[in-house]
Amino acid sequence: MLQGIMRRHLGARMHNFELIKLLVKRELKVKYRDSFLGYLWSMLNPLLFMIIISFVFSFMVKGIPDYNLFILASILFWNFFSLTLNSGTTAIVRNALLLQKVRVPMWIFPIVPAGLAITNFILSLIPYWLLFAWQKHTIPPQLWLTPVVMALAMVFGCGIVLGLSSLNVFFRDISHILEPLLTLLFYATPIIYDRNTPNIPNYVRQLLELNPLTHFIEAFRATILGQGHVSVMELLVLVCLSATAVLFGGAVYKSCRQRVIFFL
Amino acid sequence: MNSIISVKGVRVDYRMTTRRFTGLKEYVLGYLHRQHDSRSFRALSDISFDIQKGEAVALIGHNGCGKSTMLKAIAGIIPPSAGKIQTWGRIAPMIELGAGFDFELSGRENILLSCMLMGLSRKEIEDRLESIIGFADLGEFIDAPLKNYSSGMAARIGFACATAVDPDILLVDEVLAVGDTNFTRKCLNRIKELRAKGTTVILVTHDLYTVKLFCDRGIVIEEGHMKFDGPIIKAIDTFEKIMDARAKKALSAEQAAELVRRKKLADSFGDDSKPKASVDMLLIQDFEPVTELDVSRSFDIQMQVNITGANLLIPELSVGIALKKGNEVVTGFNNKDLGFSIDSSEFRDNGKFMLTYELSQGLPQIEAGIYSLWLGIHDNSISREIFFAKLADIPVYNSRRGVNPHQYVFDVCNQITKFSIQV
Repeated sequence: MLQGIMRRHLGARMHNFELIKLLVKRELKVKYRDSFLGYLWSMLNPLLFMIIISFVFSFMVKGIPDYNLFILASILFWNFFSLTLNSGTTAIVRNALLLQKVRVPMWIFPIVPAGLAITNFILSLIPYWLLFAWQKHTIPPQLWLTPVVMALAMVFGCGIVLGLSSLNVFFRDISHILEPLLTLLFYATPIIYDRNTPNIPNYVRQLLELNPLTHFIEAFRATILGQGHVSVMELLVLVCLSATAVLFGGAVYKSCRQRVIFFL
Repeated sequence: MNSIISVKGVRVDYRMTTRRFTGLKEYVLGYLHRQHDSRSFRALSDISFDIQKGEAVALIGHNGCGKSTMLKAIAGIIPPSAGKIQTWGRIAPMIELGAGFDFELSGRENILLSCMLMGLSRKEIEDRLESIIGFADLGEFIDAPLKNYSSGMAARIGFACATAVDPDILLVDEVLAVGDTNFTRKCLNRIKELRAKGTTVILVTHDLYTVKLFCDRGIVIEEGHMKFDGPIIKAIDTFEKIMDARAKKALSAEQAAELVRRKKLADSFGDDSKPKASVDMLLIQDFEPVTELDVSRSFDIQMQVNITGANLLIPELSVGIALKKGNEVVTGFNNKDLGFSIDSSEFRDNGKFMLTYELSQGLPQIEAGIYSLWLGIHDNSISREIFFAKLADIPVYNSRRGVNPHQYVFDVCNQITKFSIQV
């Protein structure tokens, strides 16, 4: 009996996972349909961005070794996060028609963009590694931690997006305010600069510490670039952050779930 | 009991449909002004019924009465505000054909997507793919993007997917109205097949003719309340009474004047306003009551119908006959299927007309057995039934072999070589 229930439960989980995979595939297919370079754009876009940023900022930001790699790694991470948030927040509203007609767990839809973002991220790692191999000849010592950091970042993003996408059903302003907020976040997170450069005042450095993304991006860069070291303590911080995000987002989602259908 | 759907004291409130807070500012202002009373609209109240495995139930009611809400609640799309809905088994909701289709994707990809949303695993879909493609009848289009399809093709895929899941419960909401008659017939046939396999069907439609053919039980919902639950014929009766009452209430001054004018005309015939019909004579050629009708050879059906009452008031008359074997409808067609529209002004002075159906090839598809011949006359303009009754029991003999008794025989229209109405 219990086994039966568990199997059915597991079956449902597996099915939801399969469904997310399929929806991610669809988004990818639709996104690159009819474009000549197709998937290559996932790789080219960050590269172009890197070239621009590193050209512009190489005059201003001094003292970061391999600044182009630094920028590229940061951009990859930022793209992942902003894509998750941007497209995840509106996901439930966007799929309103479907949700009114088919019985399907609602949380799947805000998660799909995260899946899309991580696929995009993995694709765009290819040019990163090519550039990395060209410029540097040592493997970063904590490289094995990169998947762990990314997994935690994904959990973190999913948690936030779960809450935001549910609230966005009731307050559609959220999706509009998100864009300027993300721009703010872009500069309030050490993405194109390093928190530890000497010309940043101490209080700013401490303020940046309050931004959860700071922890994620610094850990990510440390593992993939080999600049700096991720301590067990910092990993624990990441775990706590993502757990908090999921708990909060999940709680918001749960309290909204029953009402959402009436507001779509 | 063998209940497959159990609905107990269900209430559904749509919250704040009149005032919805789509912005933070409004929310905050509303909060300050204490206007957060959730103004709600009660779509359904205190609905209870049980549906047994294998039943075919129609939810009947006028637009906005809550029948679609009921269907969505059973499908688990809308949570009830109070009460409890329990279902057992796999549900295929057909609230809209092709829900979740992506028009950029190909037919094949959409089948995968749609079936997956409906809860099928990848392997189950692969097993059914051929039959879905076969039913949808797409040919080489299957790998073309959906945006290049006609709406009928997309609807066919939608229907094929929804029924391919082998549901225990099939929920159908008005979706059969799309597509051509051929498609509708094909869909109804598929629903019949599923029923024969034991699928429970809940149908929401305005088409009382279809309802009568396919359902044995009807639940009438009026303004969110359940008014009737019982045999389909009685349910339709109840519904028509409600409709009449509503029609009277909802009339504008102009319409009321028109009604008075019509009523006067009707009174001049000396009858009440509801038309009635009777069949004065039925003649099936080459058929004497004692012998069997050989359906493998040509035969004619002729009947003299007499509509009394306000026959002038029927702008759109629909006349159809059906053959039943036991409770199963074997075949049926009306004048619309035959491409004929009936103008009742033709028989202005006299409600009598002669209907003739000539089947020069017979009806070789049906098996031998006892069949009953039914006649239905509808006023389509206000979807009101004028006449629906059994005319005769006909013992049928077939020198060739007929089809599976569970199959509804379609395309009989092509075999009707002559159809006429003589006043």
